[in-house]
Amino acid sequence: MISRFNDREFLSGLFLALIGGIGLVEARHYTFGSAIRMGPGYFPVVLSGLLLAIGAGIMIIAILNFEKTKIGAVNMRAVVMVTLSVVIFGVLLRPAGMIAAVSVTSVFAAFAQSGIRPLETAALALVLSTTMTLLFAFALGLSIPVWPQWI
Amino acid sequence: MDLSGIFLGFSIALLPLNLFYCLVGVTLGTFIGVLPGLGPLVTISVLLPITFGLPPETAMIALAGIYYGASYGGSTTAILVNIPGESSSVVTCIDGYKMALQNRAGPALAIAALGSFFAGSVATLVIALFAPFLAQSALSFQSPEYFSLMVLGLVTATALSDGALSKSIGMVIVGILLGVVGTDVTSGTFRFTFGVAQLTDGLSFVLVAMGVFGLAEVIISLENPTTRVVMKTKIRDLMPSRQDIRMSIWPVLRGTGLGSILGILPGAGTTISSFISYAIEKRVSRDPSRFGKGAIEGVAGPESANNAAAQTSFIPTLTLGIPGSGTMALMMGALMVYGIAPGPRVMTSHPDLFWGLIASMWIGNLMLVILNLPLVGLWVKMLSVPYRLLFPAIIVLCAVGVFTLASSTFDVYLMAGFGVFGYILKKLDFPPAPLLLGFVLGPMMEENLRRSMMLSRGDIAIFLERPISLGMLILAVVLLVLAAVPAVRARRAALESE
Repeated sequence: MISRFNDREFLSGLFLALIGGIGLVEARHYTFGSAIRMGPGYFPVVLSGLLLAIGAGIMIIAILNFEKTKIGAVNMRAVVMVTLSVVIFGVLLRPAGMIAAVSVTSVFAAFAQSGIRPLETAALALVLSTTMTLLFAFALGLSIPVWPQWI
Repeated sequence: MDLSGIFLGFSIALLPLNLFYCLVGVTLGTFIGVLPGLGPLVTISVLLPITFGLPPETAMIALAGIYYGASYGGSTTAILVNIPGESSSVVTCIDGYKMALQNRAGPALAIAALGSFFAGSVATLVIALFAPFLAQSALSFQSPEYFSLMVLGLVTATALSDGALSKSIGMVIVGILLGVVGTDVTSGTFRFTFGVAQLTDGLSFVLVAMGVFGLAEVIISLENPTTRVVMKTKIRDLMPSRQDIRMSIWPVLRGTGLGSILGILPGAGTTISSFISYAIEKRVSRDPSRFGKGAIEGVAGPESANNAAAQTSFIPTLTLGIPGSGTMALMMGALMVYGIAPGPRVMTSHPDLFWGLIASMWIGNLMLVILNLPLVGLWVKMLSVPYRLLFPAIIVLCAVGVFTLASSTFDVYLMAGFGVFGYILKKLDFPPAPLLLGFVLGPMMEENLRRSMMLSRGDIAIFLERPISLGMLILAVVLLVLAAVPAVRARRAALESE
């Protein structure tokens, strides 16, 4: 049974309309100006409005359309773990240094799939943290904290 | 004919540093071309921060090598394992794999590589001859022409991208809006920064690319794991028979011509070139029933076409500053980070970059032919690298890479957000390339629109009064109409399922 919120096309239209709507709400604060002297708000307002219209159009067509496409199943585990593994890198980098941060990140990443192999994950964490550190901090000479702050 | 450019180019391309990075680029390109699920767009996005330590021409040489190298690798797996490593290799699977099953994998691979090399050489020549001419004529461009050209570029890209037209247009607009984020150059107003200080300089396009293409791709691949079956096909003999060569000559020539021309058009790319080449070969053949059963023309034509297109697609990017595809938009973004604004002036202000890049393309093609044929077995072994070892590396590369852009952990969080954003785009079946194009072109479009309006005192007819601008806008409208016509769309869908 494909409801409104399973209907891929309806959601696509909603997505676009939301972005357009947010754009309009925000951009109306900027000076609009005129055609001769376009203010900072001109372009964003026009485009956001256009986007809102397109989004609304897609939504309406989706509602009226007999054939609906269902949106594919969402693998929440993958979404959450991949995102989390990137975020944790940002959190850990300065306090803990690159080696630790990369290790934790790759462990988190490994959890993004079902079925964890502890030995393999540990080995991968080791390999990634050493190669990435060697590549970025040393070979490329970029300033990036390698060791934890308390060392 | 002024050949000084080519000499300059080779003198740059043959420098040891550039030779080395050319090799790195094409090898890496072949590697990711072999691996399904990892394409040039993702790889270039992820590797951009690493190249920033290099001089600009070296970085471009490496990135370009990845781009056209991938089409070589993609054909290898298409023929041997019936899995297209790249979308441009899909057509090669059809007859190439059949040939492999008939113990003719060797000749198929050889013809694919040699045809690609020929196409690449010709395309390099095309660039060398055509690009200066194009750049010359573009020197007279002013704001209205630039604006119309950008509109044409965006329209072509949306018209030729897969997926619904309305969604492509939507993506372009979203991309432009993302490009607007930051400080307005003319008035100094903060736009779409929502009070966040780190956004006042705008969104780094590398960040957006890594999130939308790199991270999102990882999530999607984890959702739909592809089981790879590596069939052991013995490559007995790489030498194609005399008849193979004879039957391939015309397909290679046709494919090269087709690809060279289609590559120049913004929006048309390697994939479309290979599809159209296959369709042409089938239609022109004396015995079309052979197609689908191991006809070598079905490999020779498309492989030449996609390689030629991969190279000539640099022309609009370098000479006009109009990226014809998502990957070209990435390249252009990379150039802009180096402070090189692509456009007609690039040839005169940075001739070493321009000609060096072109010369290195030919060298890269040579490397690929020499590399690919003997090392085929090695590439196939690469297929057995499980994805679960690869994707953490991609995630880490993205995370570290984005941090090094501005030493900012905020960027890391932002990119994670764009990863989710890109995932949503994929789930909702939005084509990603128009987003990137809109992002790169948007701010410049606005700038040119503003200037044009000031020039004309608010008269919108300025775009229609100037002949070049008018011509481009008419072309854009024609393309839009054509793309919207159902018959054309059905044809394209049929072409894709062939």
